[in-house]
Amino acid sequence: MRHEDKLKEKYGSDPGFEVPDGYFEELNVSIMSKLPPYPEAPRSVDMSLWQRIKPYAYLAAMFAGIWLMMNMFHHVSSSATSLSLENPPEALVDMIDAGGYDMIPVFSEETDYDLQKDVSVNYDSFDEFEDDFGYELEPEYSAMQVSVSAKDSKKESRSV
Amino acid sequence: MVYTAPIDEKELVKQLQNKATASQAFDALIKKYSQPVYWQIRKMVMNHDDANDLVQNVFIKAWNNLHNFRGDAKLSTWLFKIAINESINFINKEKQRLQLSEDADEAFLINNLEADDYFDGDELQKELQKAIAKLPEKQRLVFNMRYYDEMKYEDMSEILGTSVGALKASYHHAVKKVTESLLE
Repeated sequence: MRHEDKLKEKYGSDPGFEVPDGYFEELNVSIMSKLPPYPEAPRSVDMSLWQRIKPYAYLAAMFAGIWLMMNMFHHVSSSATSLSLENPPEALVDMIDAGGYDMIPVFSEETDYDLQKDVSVNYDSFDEFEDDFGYELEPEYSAMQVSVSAKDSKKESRSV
Repeated sequence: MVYTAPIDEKELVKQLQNKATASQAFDALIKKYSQPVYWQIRKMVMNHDDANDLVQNVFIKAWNNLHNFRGDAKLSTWLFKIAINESINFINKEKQRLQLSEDADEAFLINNLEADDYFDGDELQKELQKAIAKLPEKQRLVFNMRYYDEMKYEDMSEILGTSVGALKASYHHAVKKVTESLLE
């Protein structure tokens, strides 16, 4: 025999609950007397065209903003990585072309002769020049002789 | 003009949703369903006074939400759902008020049963009610619906929103637990 059948056989299927006499008749009257006025279904509010499309407009604006930001980021990052001496920023090129700035020579145009002349004016020998500047000249300069005429011109320039 | 309650449920729903006929149709609804709803609540809360308050709340809530009832489910299913929610909420609130723990349904229900002036059962019936009070909430519901009312699993499934298979398993466990509890 199943558990359920055993239970029903011993305990029955009546829970043993009672209600006062005439309870359900009174209950019906009691509930009806407590009912509030008939509930009106909430009316749908008339929305203007703008109110209806507003969420979509905001959504579109958001995507447009994101697209612009992405575009800006892409533009900035690509122009930053391509900057070099061969590819200067357009603004700089424009300024140079407009002549607003003088080009400063990057490399000295001083020749070996000029160097020899400068040294001979101020120093008695290249060794003295090397001591003064703290570095060694190329061997071909070390071998050069400082000329007397150059030393004389130095003295002349000092007296002037 | 004498109002005659419609036999057809669809017609009753139609009348309930029409302001002109709603009141008389609702009176018919109460007459038809107040007893089964009351007994369902009474078995859940085990006390007449509490069941009386709750059954009135159920019908007032149903009245206030008539415009939400779309007729997809049966009226009885809708009312039972409200009744079960009301009963569970009531038990939880009472446990809070009495500062009982979450799992103190048994203590609350037995106390409620002992305080009920309209419990007319013998000792065996009281024993069975106490054993039912020990069941978890869902199993207690399933046990009451099946054991006392012999409700079809399909109807229970609609009311409780649980599959028929799960309900069968739940009832099987409930009967086993009740039997074991009574044998202790």
